[in-house]
Amino acid sequence: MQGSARRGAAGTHPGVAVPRAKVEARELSVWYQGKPALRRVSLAVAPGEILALVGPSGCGKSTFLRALNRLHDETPGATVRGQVWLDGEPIYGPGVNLTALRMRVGMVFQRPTPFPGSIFENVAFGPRLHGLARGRRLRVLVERALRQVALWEEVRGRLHQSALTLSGGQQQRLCLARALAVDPEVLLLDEPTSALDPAATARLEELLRTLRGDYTLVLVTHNLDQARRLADRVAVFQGGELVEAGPPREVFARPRDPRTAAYLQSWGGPAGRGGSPGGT
Amino acid sequence: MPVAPLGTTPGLRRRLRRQALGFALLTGAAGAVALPGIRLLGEVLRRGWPVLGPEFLLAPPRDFLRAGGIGPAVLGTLLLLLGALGVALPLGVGAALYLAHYARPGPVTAGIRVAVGGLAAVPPIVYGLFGFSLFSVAMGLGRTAAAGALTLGILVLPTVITAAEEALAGVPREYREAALALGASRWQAARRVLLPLALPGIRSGVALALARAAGEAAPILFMAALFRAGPGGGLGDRPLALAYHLYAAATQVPGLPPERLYGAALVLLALVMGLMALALGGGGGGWPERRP
Ligand SMILES: Nc1ncnc2c1ncn2[C@@H]1O[C@H](COP(=O)(O)OP(=O)(O)O)[C@@H](O)[C@H]1O
Ligand SMILES: [Mg+2]
Repeated sequence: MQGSARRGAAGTHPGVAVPRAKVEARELSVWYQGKPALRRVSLAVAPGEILALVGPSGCGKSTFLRALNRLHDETPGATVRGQVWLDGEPIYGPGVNLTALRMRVGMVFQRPTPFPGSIFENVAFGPRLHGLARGRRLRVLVERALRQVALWEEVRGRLHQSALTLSGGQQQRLCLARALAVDPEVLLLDEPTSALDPAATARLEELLRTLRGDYTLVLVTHNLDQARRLADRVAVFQGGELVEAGPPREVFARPRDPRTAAYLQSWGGPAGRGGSPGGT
Repeated sequence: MPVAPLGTTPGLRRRLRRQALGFALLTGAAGAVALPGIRLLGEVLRRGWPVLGPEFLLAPPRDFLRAGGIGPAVLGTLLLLLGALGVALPLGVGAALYLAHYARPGPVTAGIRVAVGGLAAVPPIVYGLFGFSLFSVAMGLGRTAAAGALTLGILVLPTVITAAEEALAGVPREYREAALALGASRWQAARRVLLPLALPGIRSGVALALARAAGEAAPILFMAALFRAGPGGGLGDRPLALAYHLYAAATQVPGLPPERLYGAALVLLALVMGLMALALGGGGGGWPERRP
């Protein structure tokens, strides 16, 4: 792992547009079995913003996201180069505690991942693991997380039933609550609504909007309408490279890079205003 | 798109005829496979059933097995299986976890997999010789149930490893990553999320392996005894077991009423089939079917 000696300040790289980044990737590259999947991406996320990562399937969105909580460390054959700074601290390097990092940078996956056990146990998983709370304080914490995701009223009477009794949309909100229960600062969301129906998608989007400001969100989505609805900024990826980044209105209306224009075109109509989501 | 007519057409009729023929052939093949098994079961049931009873199942044998029961052999079988389970479960699941989630893919893991596959092909009598020379002689355990259980444990190990590895690999990788992303260590992710999710698969693999071990006389050939004079039946005693009982009683006890052998065979079959049922039907878990 190598890293630039410069700290969180910004400037010369495309996509680095904020003075003091919450998360900042510099020259980040990832290989799988020696094959490049991400090439020298530099991108910063401002505190409290929602940054959407868009681009065609296989362009490296998930790969970028998973570098931000060092999940690649768990994938045999994955190599990461470059550096990511969290509040100005490098996350790749000796002396970085993965547990501490991942408690600050939570993650929600494409498909809901309810753990075996009850609804309560799912939300309590992180706090119990890290000894954050027990007994009454744990119950308070679980309730707060479930309220945050607007699930409390729906499950308060059956906290001790299996999490599998929930619908897909509820399971996904449960997974969000589980991530929130360890009190992270950054949330990584990898196409969190792609397995959900439109109603559940709308609820989750509404929820993400309420988290904006309190949390820094990096959201991978293949749905440009979702990006337009939610994101403060979008970053367009293609072939493992960051093509451009900026406010959705600008990027979608006046793409600076022809590759963005081509992607928007393919997604549906001029500047991606096709309405319905393209293929999944 | 043109609308297909609802009536039958010659082409459709031909397909239906071909399908009926296919079904008939498959049913015939399934029947041919099942028939010998059903005959065998019927024979064992018919001849073994009359001798079954509380005395036969529970009491010790008398008069060189010609009277009394098979109680000690039943208990001995259960003891050996429990012991084998105690050996194979932690070792097998541990090895599977290592292979599925810790080991980097490469020549070493590939070698381990080949070795595990090879072990599964070793004939039981070779395990018998190996177990006897290692556990009974080299480790000084002698002809004891402990040595027998260790041997059976090693015998079923490859099956347990393979089943557990498959069950673990069947858990979608997001589950493990979701735990890791919450700050869990690899071991915590394995223990709290992966193993519970893989449990149904592991359980059926283990039950299947034990069913096989229960029916084998060869691995414990050099340790087991046909009957016991005094009390005993612990791990430090010579083991009695149904499979060995069948083998030895049939070959070494002249004038033994065959019905008594069929009775013992029936008990062994019931035990094995019970384990099989546990393996096949005991599932019920798995993961979340995903609802929209
Ligand atoms: N674990 C992996 N092993 C090998 N190649 C991978 C792995 N994960 C992703 N890739 C490859 O890396 C590229 C980027 O993948 P990904 O980041 O998942 O794309 P996206 O999320 O934008 O659809 C793709 O070509 C994909 O096939
Ligand atoms: Mg992806």
